[in-house]
Amino acid sequence: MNSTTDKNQTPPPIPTNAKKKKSGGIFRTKLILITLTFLVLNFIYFHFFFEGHLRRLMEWGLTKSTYAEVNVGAVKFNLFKLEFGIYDFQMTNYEVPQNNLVAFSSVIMNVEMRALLMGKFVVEEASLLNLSFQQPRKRVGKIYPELKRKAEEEARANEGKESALSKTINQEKKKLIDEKINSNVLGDAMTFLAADNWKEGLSNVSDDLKTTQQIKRAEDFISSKKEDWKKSIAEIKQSEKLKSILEKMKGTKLSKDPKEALSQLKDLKKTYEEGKSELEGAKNKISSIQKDSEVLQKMVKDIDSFIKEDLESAKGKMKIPSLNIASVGKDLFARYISNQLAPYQGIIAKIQKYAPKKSKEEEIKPPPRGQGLNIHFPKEGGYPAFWIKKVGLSTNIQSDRASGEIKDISTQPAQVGRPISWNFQGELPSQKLSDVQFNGALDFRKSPTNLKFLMMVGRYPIEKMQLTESSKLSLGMEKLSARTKINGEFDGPVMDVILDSKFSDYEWKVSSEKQALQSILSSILGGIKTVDVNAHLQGPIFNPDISLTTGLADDLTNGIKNEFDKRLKEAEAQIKQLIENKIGEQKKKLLASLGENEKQIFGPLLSSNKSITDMSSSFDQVMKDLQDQKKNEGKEKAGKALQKGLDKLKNKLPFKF
Amino acid sequence: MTLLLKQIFALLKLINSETETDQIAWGLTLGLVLGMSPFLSLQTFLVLLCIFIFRVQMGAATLSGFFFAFVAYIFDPVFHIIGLWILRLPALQGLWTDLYNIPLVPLTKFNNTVVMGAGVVTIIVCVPGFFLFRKLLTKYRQTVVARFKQTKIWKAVEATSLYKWYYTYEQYN
Repeated sequence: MNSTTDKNQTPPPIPTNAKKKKSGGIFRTKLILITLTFLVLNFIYFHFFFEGHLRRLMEWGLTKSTYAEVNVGAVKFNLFKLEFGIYDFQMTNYEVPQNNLVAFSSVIMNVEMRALLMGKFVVEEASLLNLSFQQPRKRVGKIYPELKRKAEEEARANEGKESALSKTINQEKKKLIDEKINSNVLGDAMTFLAADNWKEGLSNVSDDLKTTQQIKRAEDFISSKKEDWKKSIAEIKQSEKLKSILEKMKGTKLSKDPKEALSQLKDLKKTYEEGKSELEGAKNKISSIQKDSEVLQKMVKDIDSFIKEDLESAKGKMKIPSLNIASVGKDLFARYISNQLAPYQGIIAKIQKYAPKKSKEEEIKPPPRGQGLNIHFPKEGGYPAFWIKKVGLSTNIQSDRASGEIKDISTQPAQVGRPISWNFQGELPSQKLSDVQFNGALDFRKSPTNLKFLMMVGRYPIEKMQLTESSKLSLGMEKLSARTKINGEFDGPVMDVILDSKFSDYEWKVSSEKQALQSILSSILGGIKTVDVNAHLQGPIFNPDISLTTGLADDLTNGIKNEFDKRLKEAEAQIKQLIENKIGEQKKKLLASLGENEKQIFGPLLSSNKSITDMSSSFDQVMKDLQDQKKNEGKEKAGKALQKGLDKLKNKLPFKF
Repeated sequence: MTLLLKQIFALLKLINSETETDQIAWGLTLGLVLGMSPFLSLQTFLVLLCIFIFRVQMGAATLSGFFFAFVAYIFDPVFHIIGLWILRLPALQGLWTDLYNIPLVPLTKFNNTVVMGAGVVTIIVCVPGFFLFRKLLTKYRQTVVARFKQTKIWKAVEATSLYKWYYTYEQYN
C-alpha cells in the first residue's frame, strides 16, 4: 500500500525559503546591455585602432604579393562621413629597390550615404593625387627574393592550368604574328641580292625546254608531210593531160553548119568540164600544201614566245622574291603595330567575357533555385548598384604636370545614361614623355560593347626597335625618339584603328653574315633620317586587315629594286644565252630544213600554182571565145534574114522611102 | 553555440511545462519569418533584433527558422511565380519604382521574385501562424504531455530520488 502511495506521490513541496522565479519583463535587459557594451567596444576599436591595423594589413598584404616593401603613410576612415583615404603610398620596385614602382600622395573617396542605405555603392568623387612611377625612394626599399622564388615555383606548377581566355588570346596573337609578320619579305629580298642564289637558277635550266619541244614538233611535222608534198607537187607538175585538152579546145574550129557546130560545142563542153575537174584537183593539192606551209610558219613564229616562256620559267626556278612596298612595310612594322594594339585586344577580349549581361538574356535562363530573378525599377536620377561618378587624377611631382579624370564607372551604364569615359593629358618629363593625351569611352550600353579611344604621346624614347629578325638579316633601330598617335574604335569583335608613328634621332643596326648585304643596306639606309608609319587596321580584332604605308618601305623598296633590276638584267641575259645555247643547234637545223623545203617544194609550188591558175583562165577564155563565135554567127545569119524580109516588105509598099 | 543549445534545451523543457506559451509561439512565428527571408536582408536583421530585444523563446525561433528555411527551399519555384506576378503587376509598377528608389527599402531585396513571393506568403501566414502555434502547444500539453505523465514509465522516473533531487534543484534555480 505504502508503495502505491509512494508511486502516486507528487513532487515534494517547494521549501518556503526558496526564491520565486522572476518573470523578467518583456525585454531581455541583460542581453541588451551586453550588446550595447559590445557596440561601445567596437566603436572604441574603430575609432582608435582600426585605421592603424588596416594600414599594417595593407602593407603586409601588398608586400607579400609584390615581394617588395610597400609603405602606407596613413589610412583614414570616417564612418559618419563615409570617407576613406590612403595617404603617402609607396610600392618599391623589386628590380630597382632604390625606386618606387608606383607612388601617390593620396587616394580619397567619399561614399554616398543615401545610396548606401539603398544597398548601392556610389562614390561621389574619388581622387588620386600625385601619381608617379619609377621615382627614387628616400631610402632603399626591402625586397623578398625568397617569396618571389616560392611564388614562381607555384606558378610553374600551375603553368598548364592557363585559363581558356588567355589561351585563346595567346593563340590568336601567335596566329597573327605567324601569318602577317613572319613573312620576312625584306630578309628574303636582301639575301637574294647579297647571295649568289640567282646564279644557281641558271644551272637549273633544264633540257625539257618548251622551245626545244616546239622545234621538235616542227621538225616532226615537216618530216611527216614532206613526202606528201613532193608527191603532190610532182602530180601537179605532170599536167600533160590538161595541156592536150587545152590544145584540143584551142584547135577547134566551129563548122558553118549549125547542126554540126552544135554537136562540136557539146563535145567541147564535155572536154572543158573534164579539164576543169583536173584543174580543181590540182588546186586542192596546192591549197593543202599552202595550209601546211602556214601551220609550219606559225610553229616557227611561236618559237620566240616559247623562248620567253622558258626564260620566265627559269627565273621562277631561281626563286626571285617578289617585292612590293606594302609587304615590305608590313614586314618591318607589323610586329610594332601588334605590340601597340595587344593591350587593347586583351582588354576587349576580357570585356566581352565579363561585360554586364543584358536583362533579356537573364530572363531567358530560369533562375537558379533559391536565387530568383532580380527585377530592377530604375528611375531617372536613381542609383545603379555600383557607380563611381568621378575619379580625379593628377600629378605634380618635380617637373611632371598632368591631370585627368575617369567618369561613370558603373555596373548599370544604361541607368547612368553615359559611357565610362576618361581623359588624361599633360607632360611627364620624369618618365621622358611629353605631350601625353589619352581620351576614350567604353560604352556597355551598346551591343556589342563599344570602345573608342585616342592615345597620343608627342615624344617618348624607345631603347631598341627590331624591324626584322631572321637568320638571314637583322635590321633595327636604337635610341629612337618616337611620336605615336592611335585613334581607334573596337565595336565588339571588330576593330577600326588608325595608327600614326614617327621615329627620329635613331641609329641603324644592321647585321648579316654577308658583308655585301650590310654594305647594300647601309648605303640605302644612310640617307633616311626620319621614319613614319601610317597603319589602318580593320576587321576582326585578332586578325585584322592591315593597310600600312611607311616612307622607309618606299625608300628601301626603291633602293632594293634598283639593285634588283641590275641583278635581274644580268641574270636574264645569262638565262637567254643559256636557252639560245641549248636550242641554237636545233633551231638552225629547223631553219635549214625550212630553207630546203622552200627551195624544193614551196618555190616550185608557187610556179605550179601560177601555171594552173593561168591554165584555168585559158580554159575559160577558149570556151568563151568558142561560145561567142557561135553567137556571132547566129546573129549575122539572123540579121541577113531580117534585111531580106525588110526589103521584100519595102517593095510591096505603095510609097517609097 | 552554448547559448543556442541552452535555448533548445529550455525549449524542450518549456514545451513540456505549463507556462510561457506565448513566448514559444512568438519564437516559432519569428523563426517562420527568418526562415522565409534571405539571410542578408533588412527584414532578417529586424527579426533578429526583435528576438534579441524581446523575451521570445530563442530556441523556438532557431528551430523554426531552420525548419521554415527548408520549407522555403521546397516551395521556391512557387514563390518565384508569385513574386514575378506581383512584381510585374502593372498597377504596382509605380509603387515598386518608388520603393526601389528610397533609402532602406531596397535592403529588403523585395525586387527579387523569390523574396517577394516568400515575403507575401509570410505576411499572410505569420499572424494566423502565431495563433495556430499557440493552439497547437496548448493541445500538445493537454493531450501528449498529460497522457505521457500518466504512463507507468514516467511515474517510475518520477519516483526515483534522482528526479526528486533534480526537481528541487530546478525549483530553486
